[in-house]
Amino acid sequence: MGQIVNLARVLVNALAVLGVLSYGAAAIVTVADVIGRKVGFPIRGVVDLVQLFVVTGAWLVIPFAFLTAAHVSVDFLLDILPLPLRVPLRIFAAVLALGLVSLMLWQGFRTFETRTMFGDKSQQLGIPIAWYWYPLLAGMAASLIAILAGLFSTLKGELNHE
Amino acid sequence: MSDAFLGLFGFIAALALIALGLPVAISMGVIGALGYWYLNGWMGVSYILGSSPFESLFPYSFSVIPLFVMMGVFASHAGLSRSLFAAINSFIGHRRGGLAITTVGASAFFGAICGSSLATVATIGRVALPEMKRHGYDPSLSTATVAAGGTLGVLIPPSVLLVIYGLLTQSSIGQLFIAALIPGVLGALFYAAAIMVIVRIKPDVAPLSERTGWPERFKYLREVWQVLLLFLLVIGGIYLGWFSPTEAAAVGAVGAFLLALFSGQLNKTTLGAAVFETAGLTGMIFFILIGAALFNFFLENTGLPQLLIEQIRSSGLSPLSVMVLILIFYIVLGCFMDSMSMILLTVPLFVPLALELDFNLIWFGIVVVTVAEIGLITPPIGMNLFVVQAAAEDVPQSTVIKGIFPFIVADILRLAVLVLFPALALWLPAQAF
Repeated sequence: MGQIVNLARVLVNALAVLGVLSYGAAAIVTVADVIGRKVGFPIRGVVDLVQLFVVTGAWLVIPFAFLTAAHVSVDFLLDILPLPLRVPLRIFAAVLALGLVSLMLWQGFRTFETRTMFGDKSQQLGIPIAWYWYPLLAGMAASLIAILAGLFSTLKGELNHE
Repeated sequence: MSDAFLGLFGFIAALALIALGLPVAISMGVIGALGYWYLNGWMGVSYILGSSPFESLFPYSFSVIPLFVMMGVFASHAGLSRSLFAAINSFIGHRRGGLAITTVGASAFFGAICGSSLATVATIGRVALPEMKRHGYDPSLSTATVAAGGTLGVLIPPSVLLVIYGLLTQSSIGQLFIAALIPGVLGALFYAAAIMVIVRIKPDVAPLSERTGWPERFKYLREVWQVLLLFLLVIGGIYLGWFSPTEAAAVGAVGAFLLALFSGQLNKTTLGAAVFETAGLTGMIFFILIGAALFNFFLENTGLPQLLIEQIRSSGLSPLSVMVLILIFYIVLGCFMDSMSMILLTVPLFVPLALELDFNLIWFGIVVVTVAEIGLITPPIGMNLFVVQAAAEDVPQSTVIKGIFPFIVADILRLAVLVLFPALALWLPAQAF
């Protein structure tokens, strides 16, 4: 089990690095356009590119937030609860997260199929709209893995701590 | 059960799940989806579950969030905090309480390029706390000053919270940034005044320090010109209409990366830390936006905001009284919730009310973000209190809390001034736009 969790960690961390690189690409394209405009060479379709990079980045880093429990939560009540109550609450939170993300992935995939059926493209560069959906689907699927891996690590930590 | 009552029940249920330690994004998303399912059936909820995650992050205007986060993260890894602290300290450090006021000033400047309260506390705390300890400052004053100073980064632009408020209410992010400048500076001045009152009453808490000569002052100033340049470029660019907020954020992100690179602070370890910090922060923000979108679909469907408006209208309360009630609600909620979750959960409820009462949404946003930042230092869940305690492990939590009250009073006074004089927030944007 530990090896699977480690593999999940490697995958989620790699996606996070790719996600931040994607943000970096968005920043560089934007700065290049700002400078380009001043000298008469604006970047064509900068909005399409920035949207693609940011959407890609966002969905690739979301699993990392699940894995590292970076999502904002209020722990003061949880911290004072005894372990027999704390562990079920952690599991309950993970089950809710799994349920919500699974439903989003399932319905997201159906929406993706509908919206890409007619080959819609972005306005400026004609980037297939499906390209904006692939990171979403990949990010959701990786989030499911990250939630399970995060739960495993948290429970292991809680039980070892005790 | 009426729909509005269901909305109220959903609001309380979301708060209950959050109190049980569930991530805010999941709590809002689950309650939003269940409530929407109850109101509109499976077809309705399957539609929003399938489309909201895409629609919540797709708009171009959302690009501003990761870019400003990147700017803040790289700025905090560029080692600028030490130079900022030394430069301000060289001018006022020798006065009684000067080191504490220096901490506030350095936090304000650092917040201006960082935008994260927690990062400001952690970064400035690493520099300021040992320095104040070395000069014999009382730990309750030193830790509370660092914790309070960190909140300035929430309001002083570029502020991620203002970006989120702007996106939620479709207000101009550029106007919000410019509007936050005077209230942000006012915050620093009120904190400085609080420190001056503390050291006047109890001079022992802040012994005098040595004076710095002019040659050294110029040397320190030369070390911080890049910070000023980056801030002026980003905020001045928006003010002068050179950039949109997204472009300013991109310029800031690239600028902060270059500053970190040329400062020699960026190595494999710090680069990795910066990348993962950016990933964690933006992943958290984006997923909370998705959860909030689901919750808001539900809330709008219940008609709870409209019921609130009708209740307020029939109560005959003046707009000022309503504003005071909203602020009290925020201050109480801020004792238990973090500022971003608070804003995402409540703004959709209060903004229709603010519009009904003819409040300017830019001013309302500044007031809401100001009151949300107070939540960062109010016990028991003031996040900054925990971060500063982690930086000063030998100081117990009770000592930090004891020292924080004068700063909370300063914040409440500033809030009162902002509510009574909206021009403090609205004058500057009126000149720029």
